[in-house]
Amino acid sequence: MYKKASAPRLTLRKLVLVGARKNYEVKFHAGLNIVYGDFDTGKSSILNLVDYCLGASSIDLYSQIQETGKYCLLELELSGNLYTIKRDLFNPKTEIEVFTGDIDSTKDSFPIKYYSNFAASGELDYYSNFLLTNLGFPIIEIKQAPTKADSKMIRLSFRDVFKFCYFNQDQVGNREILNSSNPAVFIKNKEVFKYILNILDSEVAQLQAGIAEATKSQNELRKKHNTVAFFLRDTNFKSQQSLSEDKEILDDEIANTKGELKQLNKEMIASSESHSEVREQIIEFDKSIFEVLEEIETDDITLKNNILLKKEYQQDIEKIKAAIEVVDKVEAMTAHSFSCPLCSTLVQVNDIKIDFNEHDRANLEVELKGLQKRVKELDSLIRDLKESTEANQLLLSELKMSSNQLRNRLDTETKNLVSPFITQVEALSARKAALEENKRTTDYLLKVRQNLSDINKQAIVYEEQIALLNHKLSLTEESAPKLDESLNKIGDLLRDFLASVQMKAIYGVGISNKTFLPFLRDVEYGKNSSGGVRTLLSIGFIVSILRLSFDQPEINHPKLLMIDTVGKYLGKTSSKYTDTDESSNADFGLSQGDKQKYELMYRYLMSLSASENNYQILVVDNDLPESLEDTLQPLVVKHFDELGRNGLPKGFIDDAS
Amino acid sequence: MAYVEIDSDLNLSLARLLIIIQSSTAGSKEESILTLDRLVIYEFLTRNPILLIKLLRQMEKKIKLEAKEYEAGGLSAKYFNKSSIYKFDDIRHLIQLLFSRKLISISLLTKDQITIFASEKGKEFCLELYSDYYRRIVEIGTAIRGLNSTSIIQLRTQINLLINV
Repeated sequence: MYKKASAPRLTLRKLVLVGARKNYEVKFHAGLNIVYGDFDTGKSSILNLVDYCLGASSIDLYSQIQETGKYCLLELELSGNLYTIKRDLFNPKTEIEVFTGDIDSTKDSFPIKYYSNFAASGELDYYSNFLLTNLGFPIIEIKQAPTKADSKMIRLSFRDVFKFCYFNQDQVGNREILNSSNPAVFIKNKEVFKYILNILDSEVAQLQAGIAEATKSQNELRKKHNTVAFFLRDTNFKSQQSLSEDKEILDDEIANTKGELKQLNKEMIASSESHSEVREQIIEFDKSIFEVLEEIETDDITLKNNILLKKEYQQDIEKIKAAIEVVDKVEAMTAHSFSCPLCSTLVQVNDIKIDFNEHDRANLEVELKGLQKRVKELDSLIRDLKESTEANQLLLSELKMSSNQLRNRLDTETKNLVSPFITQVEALSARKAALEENKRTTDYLLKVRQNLSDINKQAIVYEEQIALLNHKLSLTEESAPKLDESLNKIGDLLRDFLASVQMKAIYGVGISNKTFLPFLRDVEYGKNSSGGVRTLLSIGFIVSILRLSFDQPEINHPKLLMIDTVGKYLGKTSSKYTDTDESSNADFGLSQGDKQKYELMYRYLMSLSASENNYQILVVDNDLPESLEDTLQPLVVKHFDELGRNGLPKGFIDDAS
Repeated sequence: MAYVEIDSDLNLSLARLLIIIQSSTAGSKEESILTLDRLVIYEFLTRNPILLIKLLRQMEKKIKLEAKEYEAGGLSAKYFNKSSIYKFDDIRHLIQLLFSRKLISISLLTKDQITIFASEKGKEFCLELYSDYYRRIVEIGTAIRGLNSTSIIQLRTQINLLINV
């Protein structure tokens, strides 16, 4: 028998955009959730990401998400069961991964993969079927042309249902909502509307087929579960509880081992500090060795230069001696002029001599003595440098010996100190590695067990869906046909909504049994020239369907609404830029600058929680009605300010440069 | 007292060049070998005996000369004056002075080419020099004889290879 507790319900809990630098998170609560802030801060992207995680074929992202985002995770409840959806941001055709449990537990289980759309075919099921099944909605096909008996049948997808739950910025107040300008799609949307209300002509047959399909799927899952469970039992596979206990014990032991290792390191560092004096002495010795080496090097260079100079002087001494020997002999032969053998001209000797120096004996002898004296001085200097080098070499070897002795002492003491530590560290590290390996194995085994448990849970979901379908079947059989009745109820709820926002002259209100779209003062929705009126009617329309699901929980509605820019055309934007007629606005009590309707609409959305808790409305807007700013604050899940005033994030990507 | 720049001392340069002329041509059948170009090269090599030894080794000539310690380790061996290989004017003037003292004889080989050799007076003059330095020049001049059969162009090429001029 169908139970109220398991009424169809899609509840968002958390959206996480996994980025290259960090993750960006939005948490949702029951009832009204508000995201507001400046233009181009990523408000609408939050709704787009949720829509994408619920199977949208593509996603439009603001530039900063495109730059930093990798994939998104959506934690949600489907009729009380917790799942996490994972979807690649840049490849919409990639399979959608579904994990059982919250985002943190995704690492503990294997995901089930689903095709993102009906175009794919193969072994996997479709993501839409996963959502419909878990919501307890029948999986059916609908007629492409409902008036023709032999019409081609087309699949009904969760996306078709969600069109009645999500109005983006373009759709709120648009003349052509729900594809009313595209006849083929609009006809399908009308069939989907009947499906939501459980009033499809073929409902009974479809429900029976749905029950048969669900029963078949449930039996297959049971069979799969039994086979796997039998295999695990036969191979003495530990139970989930036993594996969880093992995991806890291993976690404790790993933590203890890490603690012991940390403590050991601390002790080792503390013990080695006692050697700091010896280390300082070694540093002092090394410094002295460096200084002596530098001195030896300098002396060596000076020595080599002095030896070079001495040899040069020695050569000069030999040359001077030779010059002295010939000074008189050559002078004695001096001629003053001679005939050139080449040109036969008379050459003056004194003209030639000008390029050379003529030194007399006395000069040469003085220079000879001077050079001999300098050689002696250089000899003495060379001797001193050699002695200094020898002394430094001796000092160097003594310093090196002392330094080595200290090093050996330090090495021995360190070895004596560290060896036992190292033995202990090695033992503990080996133990830690073994424990971690055990933990990895246990985690894997737990995942296998978790997978079995997930199969069982899915079977239970089918069981609940079958119960729900049976309930719907009995209701459908009892109350068909009831199209007009349902339309009247929604029309009444729409009237309540319009009265709550204090619209003037509310008459001729209802839902057309031809277009299934709202009308006011007997004027069809799309023919209404006031943008503000269309905004209120379009929002009132989907809110009224939601309201209906409070009274009739068996209808196929996920109890989730997403509305982007609630205040559109409501005296917040100049009529110059809106598809609206100002005088028409005035007829309905709407005018530029009149923000009362806007405020009242928020009050209405807030008031819904008085009659029902199990629903969610996500609203995106540029700002909040001034008079309600404080009242609405607890319901705000994100508030952005493009300049980051009052410490507010600048956008959904709050760390963009 | 005037500063003594011994390497440009006139008397020493004259005596050294005369010994080079005498010792590099002594006993040679062709005394006409010593042209001005060749004498400039020989004079350069005499002042740089380490380079001479390297040149002889490079040209695979017989080496009858050993380097003295002060020649190998001196500053001039380490940083020798490469430009002095082109001191044509200095050598020409020294030849003129030696000729004016009748210490050398000069023959006209062609219109522009002369050959030089020591005169009898020059040979006697050489025999009366006893300093270690002159004895060393005689040893070097004798070793240089090994280059007499090598052309001037070849000599310059080989020297350039050694000093990277």
